[in-house]
Amino acid sequence: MADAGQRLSPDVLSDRPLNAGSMNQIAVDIEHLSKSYGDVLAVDDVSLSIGRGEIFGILGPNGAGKTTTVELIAGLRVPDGGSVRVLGLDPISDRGEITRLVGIQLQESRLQPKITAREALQLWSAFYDDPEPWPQLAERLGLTGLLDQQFRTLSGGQQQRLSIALALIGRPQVAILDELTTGLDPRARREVWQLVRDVRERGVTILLVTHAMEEAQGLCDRIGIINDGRVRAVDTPDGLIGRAAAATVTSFMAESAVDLEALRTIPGVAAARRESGRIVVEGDDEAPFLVLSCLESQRIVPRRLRVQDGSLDTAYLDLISTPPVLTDPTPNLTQEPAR
Amino acid sequence: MTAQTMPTLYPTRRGSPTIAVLHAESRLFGRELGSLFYILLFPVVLLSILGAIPSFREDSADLGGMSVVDLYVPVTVLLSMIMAALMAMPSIVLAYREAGVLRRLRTTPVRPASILVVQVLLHAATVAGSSILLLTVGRLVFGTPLPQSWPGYIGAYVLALVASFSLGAAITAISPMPGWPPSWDPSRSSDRCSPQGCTSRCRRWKDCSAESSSSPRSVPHRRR
Repeated sequence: MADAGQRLSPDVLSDRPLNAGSMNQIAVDIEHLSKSYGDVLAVDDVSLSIGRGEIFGILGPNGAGKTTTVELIAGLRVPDGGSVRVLGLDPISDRGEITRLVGIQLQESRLQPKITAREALQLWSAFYDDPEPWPQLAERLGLTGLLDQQFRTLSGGQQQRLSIALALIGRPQVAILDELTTGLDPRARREVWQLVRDVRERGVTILLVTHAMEEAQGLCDRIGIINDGRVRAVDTPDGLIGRAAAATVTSFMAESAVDLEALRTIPGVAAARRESGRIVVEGDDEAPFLVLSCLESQRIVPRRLRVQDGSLDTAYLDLISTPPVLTDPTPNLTQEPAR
Repeated sequence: MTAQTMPTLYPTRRGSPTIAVLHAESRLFGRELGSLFYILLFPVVLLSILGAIPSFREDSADLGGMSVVDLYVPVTVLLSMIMAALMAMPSIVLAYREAGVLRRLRTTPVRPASILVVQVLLHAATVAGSSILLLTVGRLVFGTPLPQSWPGYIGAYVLALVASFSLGAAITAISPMPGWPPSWDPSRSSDRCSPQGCTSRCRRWKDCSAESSSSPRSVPHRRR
């Protein structure tokens, strides 16, 4: 119901920067959202709750429905079914308010070819009542030396950084960043990550669409994995790794032949293989111990033994290749809607 | 309110976002030298070339006492309108649409319509400048009389402007664009909505009609 009772009270709107008390509120609430293009179901019954001040990552393969999901959240598309609430507002019917509260960096969206970076920053500043001082933002994003260059002459990474600046210039309460660091060099990427963390410190909710595992693991508080338009799992990065079949990776060298079949039969072991002279065993938390006792019974001495955490990479591949698991999509936050 | 009381430490633009769009777009329009040439200078250059032909400057009884160049003043006025409305404006707006500028603006408090309105205003203003230039050159150089009824002239002028820009807007609206609607799935590029899909469908339809035109030939053949 998009009635007045659901709207934000004025004191929340003027409360900038957001105080810590607002942390346990829901910023983005999606329920049973669906959207199809013709016969193709792009988003299929997606439910997510994102808390205020949270960095939430949406992860999934190409064409999984990630971008459609964020476009529905941003109000750029009308959902076929279900509901979206952003800060208690309906992105479609409360369009004007949403554009002031939500900053968006769209994937593959360019600016006027001949606009200079300075003009773009000035123009976007004029859109908002209380914009971020753009020179500082430009400096944070390494754009200061590029201000007089036209957009078409900027490199992909420079365009990307300008696009991030424009998404954040209106002091949004929710920032949606689609493919944040695509095309950025490693140093720029780290600087952008630090900027995202700083922005979050002010209480801004950040919705990150990515398929860079390192980014998701290092930056996000929680990650939602989407595949085929459905939410496969929602958890913290560590939680996702722990949930996957390959939470640990045990590797060692052996002088004598190792019976890989015997290793594979150990309960909790997901995979065992030979990899450039080493034996690599992926498994759950208990697996390394059981592997070692198995080796002992085979009278094999493991050399250069290493036990590592499984990567989010393997966890992700594991989760998108298995059929959907029923997960609780709600965060550890109070379920009361923001009032 | 805070924006106005705050000391401006850096140059920025306050006031209506639409005014800011107008300001930014007029600066960008100033960089479209090709468009400016064809709207502002090309018609007057054409008029001057035609006026350089001596026989075109002679009053003719066939033309009701006017010269050929007299007739070309309104023609070149219309030419600058057509250049602006059908050539210059659609190419800018289509480029914006293709780059996602309009989509990007939809995520801000500014309506994308404002950028379209601003484009029409800028092009119309340039046309007006061009028309003043043409009337002045016609009057001063070739002695073409100014319009006798200004209200009638301006009325017809505005109607012509509205007609050309409506036509330009219609061309812009129906122009196919690669990747529109924005595909979320690369496999959808052959979708019926996309221009490529449409043309391939038309081709397929043509192929079908070619087949059907050949099959009737074969069918009577069999009947015989």
